[in-house]
Amino acid sequence: MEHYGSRVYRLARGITRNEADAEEVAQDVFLNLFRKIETFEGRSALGTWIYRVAANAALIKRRGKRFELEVALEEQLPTFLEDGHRAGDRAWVLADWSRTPEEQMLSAETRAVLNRAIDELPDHYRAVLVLRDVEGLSNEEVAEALGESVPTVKSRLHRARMALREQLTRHLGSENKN
Amino acid sequence: MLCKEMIMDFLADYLDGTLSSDILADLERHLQDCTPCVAYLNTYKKTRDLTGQAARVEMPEEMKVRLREFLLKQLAKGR
Repeated sequence: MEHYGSRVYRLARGITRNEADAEEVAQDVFLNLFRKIETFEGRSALGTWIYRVAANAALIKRRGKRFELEVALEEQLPTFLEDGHRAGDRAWVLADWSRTPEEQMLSAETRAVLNRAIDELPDHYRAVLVLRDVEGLSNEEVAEALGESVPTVKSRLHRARMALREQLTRHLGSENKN
Repeated sequence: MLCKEMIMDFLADYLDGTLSSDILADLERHLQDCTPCVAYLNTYKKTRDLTGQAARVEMPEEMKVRLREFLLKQLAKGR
């Protein structure tokens, strides 16, 4: 439990966005795990199983709640002109806030913007984002844990990151024009 | 390479280091001449890193205690 406790918690909380739901998911996962522990061959099979069960349980918890906060992802993606260049005014397409001082980047306000943007992602996109960018799994491992294809995982991850980048640029970009 | 191709089709694979050498060379040439795409790449990478940092929380200690108690109780029932 020491090894996997926080991983299950982060994934469950990341998907459900709710502390109490995350705790219930963790209870389900570990109860199942202790009942089936003898059937696992090695830590790698166990790790994949834990992520799969935790993601499934968390996604089930979200059923019926999933449209509360979501906004259309399409509206959060970059847009392009017919010639393939990015659309938008010059200040917007040139906004590079990546060298913003750490204290501003990690401020409560910026974290709130990021958390809100994560809240607004569709559940299945958030699941991919947490497994890849927080837990550090590969595309293939995420695909196995979620029962999705690798192209689906890659597409969801990229769109999720672009949507978050958009929100962060609206927040940080205007203060950090080059 | 167009900005649209660089951002929509190849950016994530570029960060994963999985592009073929032809496409990689094409993308790097594009980046040499395209300031908006450099800005996009930098902020996309930073978004990925910030997400990892902001969401990297541990299970609270009191939740660990409750979880242990829950499991002991449930497993004792099953004996």
